[in-house]
Amino acid sequence: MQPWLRFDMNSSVLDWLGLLLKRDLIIAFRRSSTYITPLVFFLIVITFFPLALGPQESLLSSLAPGVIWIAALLASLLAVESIFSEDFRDGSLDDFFISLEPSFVLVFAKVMIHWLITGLPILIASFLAAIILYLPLDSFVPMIISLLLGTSFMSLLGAL
Amino acid sequence: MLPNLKVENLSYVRSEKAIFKNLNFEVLPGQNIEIVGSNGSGKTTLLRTLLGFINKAEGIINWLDEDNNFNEYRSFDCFYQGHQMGIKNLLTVFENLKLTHNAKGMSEKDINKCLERVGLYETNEMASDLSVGQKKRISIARWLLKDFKIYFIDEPFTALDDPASDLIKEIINELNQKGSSFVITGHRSSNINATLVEI
Repeated sequence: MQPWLRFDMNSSVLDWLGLLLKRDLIIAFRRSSTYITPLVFFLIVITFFPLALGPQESLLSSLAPGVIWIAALLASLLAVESIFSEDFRDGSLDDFFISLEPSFVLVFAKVMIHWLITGLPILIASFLAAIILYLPLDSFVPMIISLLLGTSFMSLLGAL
Repeated sequence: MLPNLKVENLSYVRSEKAIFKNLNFEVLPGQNIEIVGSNGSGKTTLLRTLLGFINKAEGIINWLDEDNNFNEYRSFDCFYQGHQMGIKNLLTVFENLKLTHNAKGMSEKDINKCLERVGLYETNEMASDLSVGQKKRISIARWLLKDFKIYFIDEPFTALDDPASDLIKEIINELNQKGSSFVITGHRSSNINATLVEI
């Protein structure tokens, strides 16, 4: 039987997904630059705006959603190329592709991990950004939802 | 006895130059194939072609399936070790084994047994602190995680001292007894019990 016909969402696939998540999260936390660099970049961009434009609440609050979005996208871009490159360089990507498990599990896990270590910290930091830039409360929820989608999309883009 | 892998008239062409052509061999259970050739002769390319990482130019690669039929799709687990050994520097020796899909369901004790078999006792050491030879030992310990039908190993004896080379030969022999086969590459014959394929 051909390999793709043998696929079902059995426990082995879920185990594999869990294993990948665990492995990559351990590596990411041991190499703090993976998540700190985009986060620091995001916060630097955000804090520069009040410094450059002055602390006028009305001006900052009208610019806030756009500024947060652009800063989040640029910060996500910093880490986009690293999704598969390390596994490719050290040969572990071969190990995944030779196994009989479906490759989309690997792609899904890598995208999810990338979002967890780059998108999620940015999403959390955007709460602070919203305060710094006087983001109106009624714009806050739509912005967080759009950032959630935007950062996920950036991680998906990085997997292309 | 049917071979697990049958290669017929396999050729690979890169930039209009034949890297290898008309290769024929069979990988029988418990028997080994040693692909010997100089630098750039296409040994790695051949392994990667067999495993489907690279598209072949011509020829037939047939795998035996559960119903004893040959087809072009592999339906059993194989092990591949390339020049990059898949070792993560930011993981410990133990984690480098435990966090691979082949170690799924294995106990800590069994994993440590694999590591001890290859002479690695400091299992909490970070892989980044190890020499190339020691990293290779982690990779060899991975061979023992599961009984694979065929092991494709690219230059297993490179960067190893004599005791480590002897250990590999010993492990290959042990795994052969269990019915596993090895397809290995090298610049010269390594004196393991294998059919030589020169490219």
